[in-house]
Amino acid sequence: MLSSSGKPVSAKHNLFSPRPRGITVLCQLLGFALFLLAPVLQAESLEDAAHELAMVDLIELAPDLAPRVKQANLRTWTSEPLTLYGLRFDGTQRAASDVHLREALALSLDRGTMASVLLQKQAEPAAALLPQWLSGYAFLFSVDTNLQRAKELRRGLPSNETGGAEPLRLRVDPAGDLAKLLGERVALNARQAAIPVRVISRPVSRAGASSAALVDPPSDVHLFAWHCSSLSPRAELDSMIAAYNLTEPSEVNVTSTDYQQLYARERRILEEWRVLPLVMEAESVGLGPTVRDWMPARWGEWHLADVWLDLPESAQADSSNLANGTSPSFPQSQSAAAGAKP
Amino acid sequence: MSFRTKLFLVFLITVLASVSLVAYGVTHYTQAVFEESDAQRSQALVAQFNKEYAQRGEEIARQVKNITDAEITLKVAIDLAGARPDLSLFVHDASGAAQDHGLDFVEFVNWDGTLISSAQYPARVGYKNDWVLTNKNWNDSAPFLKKEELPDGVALSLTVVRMLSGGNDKSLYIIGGRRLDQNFLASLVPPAGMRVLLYRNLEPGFVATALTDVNGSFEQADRLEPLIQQLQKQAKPLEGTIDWSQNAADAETFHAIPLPGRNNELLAVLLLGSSRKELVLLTRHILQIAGAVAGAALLIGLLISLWVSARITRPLEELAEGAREVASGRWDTVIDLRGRDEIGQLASAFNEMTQTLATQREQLVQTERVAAWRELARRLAHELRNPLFPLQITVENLQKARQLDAKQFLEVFNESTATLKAELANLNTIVSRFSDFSKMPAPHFAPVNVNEALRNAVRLFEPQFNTVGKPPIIPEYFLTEPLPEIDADADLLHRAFQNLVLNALDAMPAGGTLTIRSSEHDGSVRIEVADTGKGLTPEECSRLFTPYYTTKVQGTGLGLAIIQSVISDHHGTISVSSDEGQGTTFHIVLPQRQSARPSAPAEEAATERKPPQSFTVAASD
Repeated sequence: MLSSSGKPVSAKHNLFSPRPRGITVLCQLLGFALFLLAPVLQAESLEDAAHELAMVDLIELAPDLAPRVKQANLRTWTSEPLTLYGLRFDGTQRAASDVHLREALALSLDRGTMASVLLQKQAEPAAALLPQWLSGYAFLFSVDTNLQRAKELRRGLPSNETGGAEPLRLRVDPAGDLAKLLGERVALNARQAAIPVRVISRPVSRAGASSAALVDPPSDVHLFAWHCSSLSPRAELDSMIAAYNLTEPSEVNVTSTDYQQLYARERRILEEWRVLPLVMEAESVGLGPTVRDWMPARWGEWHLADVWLDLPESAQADSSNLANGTSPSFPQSQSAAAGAKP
Repeated sequence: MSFRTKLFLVFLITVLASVSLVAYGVTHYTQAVFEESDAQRSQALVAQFNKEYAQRGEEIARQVKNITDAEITLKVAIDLAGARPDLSLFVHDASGAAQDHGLDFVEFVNWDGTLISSAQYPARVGYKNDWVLTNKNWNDSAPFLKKEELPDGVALSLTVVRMLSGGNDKSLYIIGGRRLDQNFLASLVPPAGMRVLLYRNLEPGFVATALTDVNGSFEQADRLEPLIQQLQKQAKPLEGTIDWSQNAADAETFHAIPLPGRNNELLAVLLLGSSRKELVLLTRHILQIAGAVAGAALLIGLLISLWVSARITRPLEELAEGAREVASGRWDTVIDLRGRDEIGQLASAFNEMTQTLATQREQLVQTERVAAWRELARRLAHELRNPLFPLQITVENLQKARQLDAKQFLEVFNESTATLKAELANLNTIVSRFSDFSKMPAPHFAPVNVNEALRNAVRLFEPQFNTVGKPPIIPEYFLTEPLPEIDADADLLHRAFQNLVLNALDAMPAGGTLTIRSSEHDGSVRIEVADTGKGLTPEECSRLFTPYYTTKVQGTGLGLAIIQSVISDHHGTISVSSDEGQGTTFHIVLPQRQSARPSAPAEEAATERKPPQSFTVAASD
């Protein structure tokens, strides 16, 4: 996949980095592989998605749009949960150093609503750092909402460290509305446990502004997004621990690939409430009617070499009908049906 | 205080009072007119606000109605009224509706109060908005103010709620609103000198950033804190004046109008500011004019008072000077004043008076002179007749004795010549007394101890107090010690005191008490010499100091006249008080100092006391 500037673009780019609009893909499959140069777009509305799918073969779908596209019987594909949204406490900040405060915040979070309503079922509530399909033991972790317990913990905290007067500063690291939405929801959940949280956004770089001028505001908690990019749970966990500087007990064997050891490592990290998983989000794409053999990897990697396209004439007519608001009539292959796993 | 000063002060007070009264009245009236105008402008602005508020509410209601009437909204309502609806499908519907209908705030609330979709706060989806369930007839409700929670704070919203039935007795609540902020204020066009502020009372206490004007944040918001806090306690229209600086022209009157929410809670305060600059400048202008008028009036008043005083006081001063001259003895004083006004008439009357007085005085002097000569002649005849009669008898005896023998003649002759010598001596004494009175010397002042002078005078007569065969006279002293010395002529004073004591002795032939008192009073010395004799009648008291007047058989009537002359030469006074049968008291007051008083008048008086020019001769004491 190439961008319009000619640079290679990974299919597993972070969704919350500025999305390349107008990225073109030359994808023409003749026989076993034909690449045509076509734009990969992100639709902002159902009408946009239908219109764009009439012109291109593949669009990325935002979490709020994917269910509608599915409802409209357009072809979609949704990956396994790949991106972890979570909260990470900054150990250098005094307010975040109290384990009871961290636990109270964890117990106040309503992950179910985040996944099912805010992310419109395009995500799953996350209690572990690694997704179930990757680690196999994620189901062993569970964090249920317990506002009563959260309030009790809150009441037991010293007033000068719980944000009684000073709110807990939550910085939303990823860009985009979805992360901000999650941050605001966290703040609302925390407020129910009498923990004031103030959401602050990461300063956005503007043209002409030097990087030195962008100073991150001090924060107690970070909302982060971690995209799983490996099939190795150990490598994924190591990367996350290294990236977020999560401290581990010294007796843990960090080189072991044993799942029990991995589980123990993750459990010990989570037991300290330094990282609070929120949701695991899947990726969705809309597929044009001519796309055949769309079979990306479970972790979201696109295998464009396996894809082939039908002749465009018939698809053109079908897509035109979609754009005009008529019911879609393009062929629905069983393998490329909405929500189907490759 | 001179008449001129009084006149000027009266004029000054009159002018100042008048100007002050007029300035106060004009200022008060101007202020009242300004206040009335300000109130009218404020009412007009409030009416404009209400109208704009109502129009905006109607617009919001129309847009919310459009959302409610949209087919997609009906579909949402139907879906939500169904069994186990998928709430996640509607999360972003409110955002689209807000964008399509130009509303700042749109929320969809399920029949059970659950927030389904929120344009302004999507993260709140799933939370309860129970307040919408309190009203079952939202479709007829009017727009109202609402505190809108937002991710980054709170906002003030003009909100409309409408209901849409999705069946199964389940309704979808559509809440739409627009932000009430500086953009709304910008739609108002306040009159010149007025401005509109809006305080969003969305958080407890006073928050300076909640106060906004058409430009956004409002500087010096804390100056309005007392007014807003007062309104927070008692939500009723208030008025207050804010002094933005020490300059009174920068003051501004604010009419604070509470804007309640749906439950009458205070959600906002509309502040209509009216600058007092015009009023202050106008008041200053009035005061400046009043000051200028007062200054000019004072100047004119000063000139008028000078002119009037020159017109009135100068004749009066001349009259006063004329009166003083009359008092000093110049009876023929004439004032040269012309005019037919009251002053002129007064001057004319004064001149007539002095002329009459001079004429009458001349007549009186002539009359008294004749009377004095007659009295003097009578006294002289009486005094001279007494020694002349023995002389005549003696001479006749001598003539008869020529017929006697020589021895008898010699005996008669010797006896007659002795008698003649004695009577001639008596005549000489009488003439000497008159001569002494006419030759009263001018006093030569020197410090004199009055108490000592009194004691010396009394001491001369001590042998007579206890004369054998006569009832005794007891002297009693009540002298203040120490008594300051006075400027006096010791000899003359001694002579006066001696005459007083002698007069008292003569008044007590049956004995009695001679009382001598002295005291100091207000720069002078008071002396009293009292006897316990038979006393004097009021007529005798009134004529007692008249020269040559005497109540004694053998008196010249010059003793008390000499005393009065001495006391007068010392610029003192002498008076007598007497009760018949109780005795007589002479009161003398002498000043302590004589430095500023010339002794010349005494000499003049002495000159004038020559017998032919003054009084008749009386019997010697």
